[in-house]
Amino acid sequence: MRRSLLILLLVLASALVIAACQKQNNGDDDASPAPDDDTTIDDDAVADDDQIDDDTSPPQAQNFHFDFKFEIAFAAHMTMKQYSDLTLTAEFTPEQRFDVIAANAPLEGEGKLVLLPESYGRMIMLKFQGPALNRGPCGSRPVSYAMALTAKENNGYLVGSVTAYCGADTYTGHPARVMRLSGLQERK
Amino acid sequence: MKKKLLIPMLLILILVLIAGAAEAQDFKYALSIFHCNIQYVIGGLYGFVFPPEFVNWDLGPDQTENMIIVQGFKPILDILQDHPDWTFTVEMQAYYAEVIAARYPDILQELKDLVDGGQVELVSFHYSDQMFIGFPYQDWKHSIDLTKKTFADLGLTLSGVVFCQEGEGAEGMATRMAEEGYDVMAWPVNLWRYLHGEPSEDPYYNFGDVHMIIAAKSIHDTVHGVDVSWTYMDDGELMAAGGIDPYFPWFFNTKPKAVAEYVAGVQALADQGYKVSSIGGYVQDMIDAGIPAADPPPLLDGTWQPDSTDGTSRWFGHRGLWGKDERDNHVRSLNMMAHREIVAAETAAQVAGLDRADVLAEAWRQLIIGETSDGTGINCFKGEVEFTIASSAEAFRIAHDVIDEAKQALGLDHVLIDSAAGTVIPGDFAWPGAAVAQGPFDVKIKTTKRTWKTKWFRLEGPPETYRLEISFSAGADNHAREIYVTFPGNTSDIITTTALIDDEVRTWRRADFTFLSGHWYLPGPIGLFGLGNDWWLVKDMANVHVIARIEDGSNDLRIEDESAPWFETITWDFYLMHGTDAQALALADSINVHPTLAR
Repeated sequence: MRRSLLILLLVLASALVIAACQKQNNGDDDASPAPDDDTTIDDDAVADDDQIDDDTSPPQAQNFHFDFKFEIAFAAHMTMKQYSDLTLTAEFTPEQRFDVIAANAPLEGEGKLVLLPESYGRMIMLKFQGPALNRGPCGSRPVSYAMALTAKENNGYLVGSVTAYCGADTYTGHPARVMRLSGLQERK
Repeated sequence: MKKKLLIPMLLILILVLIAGAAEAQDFKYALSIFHCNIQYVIGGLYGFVFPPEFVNWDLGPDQTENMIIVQGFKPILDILQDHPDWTFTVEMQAYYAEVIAARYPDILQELKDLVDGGQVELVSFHYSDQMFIGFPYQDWKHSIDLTKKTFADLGLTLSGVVFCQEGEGAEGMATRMAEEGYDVMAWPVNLWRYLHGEPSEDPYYNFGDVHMIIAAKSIHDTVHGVDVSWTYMDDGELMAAGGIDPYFPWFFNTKPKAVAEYVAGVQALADQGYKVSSIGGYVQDMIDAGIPAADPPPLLDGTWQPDSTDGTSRWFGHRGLWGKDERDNHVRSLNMMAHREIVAAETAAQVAGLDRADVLAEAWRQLIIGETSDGTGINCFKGEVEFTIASSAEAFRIAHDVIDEAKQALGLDHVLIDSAAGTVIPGDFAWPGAAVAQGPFDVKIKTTKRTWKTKWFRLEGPPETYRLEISFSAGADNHAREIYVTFPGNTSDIITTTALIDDEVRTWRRADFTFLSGHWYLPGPIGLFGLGNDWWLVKDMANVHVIARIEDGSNDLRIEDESAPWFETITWDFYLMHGTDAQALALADSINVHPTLAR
């Protein structure tokens, strides 16, 4: 136990040095996403049902951008259009490759914003199709990705998953891998 | 004449003493619990302390699991290979066995041989290292069914012993153990001590219709001549690694010296006549010898180190070492959102005539993983927090897709899914009740650097029922992480439900406990707490699922969150009801376990 504590202290000390160096580089502190209103979606970003029913003109889109932490230590980016009927289109680009996903190869997908009033929640759900990677658990099969991002109320910080399934248009069964995503939803 | 009598009497006395000594030697046991956890660092070490360029530290999820198996687990089996007379009790989640089977068939075979040979007493009560004492029975039921299937499919025979992640213990487990074929509960000694002080020397106890031992309690029972020593009762991975845990991969490796020291200790006991035994074998020997089981005092739901973790608070609201990234209420309320979505999906699919049991089985599995304890404690880092959120989010997504499919099949755009009644009807969301100026009593709210608003709503009765909505603003800085809401109580009794029994209110007398720190935390698996005088509090667990504190000298109940993201707005909903036990259970069930959802 004492040995663990000693190692922990050494590790923390090293980490603080590294963190301090990094801070000098970019000044970023991911523990506290910017809380100001500019970075979170506002009430107008969510269309209500009346708007959907009455709106016969082409749906208006709002544009959003995400800089994600992908699997905690890596980066991914997404641009997203949200239409007045709450449908979404998006382009998701991870910077890091894993056995079920390629790096820097944009994935285009669509989905919807789900409002959950009984839990003051909202969820962004998107689906993407990716090519076969010829490696990892999916081998020569194409890979399908389900994204589910969750937040409460209109808070801008979303946390969730991008889950890889082996096979084209496959979003059920045993996933090949569940990967983590988190980041701020920012209006473009 | 007197001398003639004296000599036989002395001889008889000596024989009796020798017989007594022999009997005592017959009951010398060296027991163990290796609590093995492949989700020790759930999701792996990406982003833990060092940035990714430190590749040897920044292990991914699979690499971390592999390290745990090879460095921490296999040495336990190897000890047994070298000591064919010894038996160890090895506890693991079913997911652990799945991973061993997928990646290390030789280790699986070694484990299987040792189980079949009686050298490993294999223990498992949950599929993932799930904090089941804070969730509805249904979640654990899916977990135990999957556990049994997993071990059966792998040809591994489970024992009747129960020990759980974080040493979870609850009176309600006794009923489910009997139903599921388990027969001996290993109750953590420190949980007992926190509730009642030092336990007696009784060799074993009754636990409902099954039995119980106190894990890690050494016994010197002079009445029955039972002597029990514990060779190990800790995270299994730490033995071979010399106490270093898997968060430190540069140092987490098999240390032959540590293994040798452990083996020498066990051998010393074996040399003194201790049987290096299974727990089940020990209890069976006590039963066979006619030694009676003692009756335990009342026990409250809790975990194995309540002194250092402050009860179960660290998993439901309180922060640990890396507290800056914790968001316990997000994790645990999302678990409940996913639970509700899945039960609604089951109802919707059934009404629509769709067979989606296989699809939803994966949703349950993801939820069970999402309920893993390390998403909120003891010292979870961001990777673990977000891994459990990711699993729960995917569980929710799968279920939501099934609901969409069912709506399409039914030709309905907006539906109300009543998972208790098993119905789907057209309808839109509406909060129940009408706004009223005041509720039935004052509620104390304490925050720092946040503002809040309360709104009361009166629901149609009877019974007399209110909904309290508390909206908190975003905070000014990270001092705003703490939120406390206190409800006035009218009884010193502890009234809530016990884990795995959702249809029965249980009442414990406060005077029957001597809490080590003068307070206790109640997980509230269906969110129900009695306030006395037939008043009840129900947390809406999809909004607020953090811990409830009770304190010596007070009847109040305080809901505590010390890990609320300071930069976010938060809304908590509570229901307050004046009625019977049955009405309170029905209310909690309708909100948290079998709700009506608008989709």
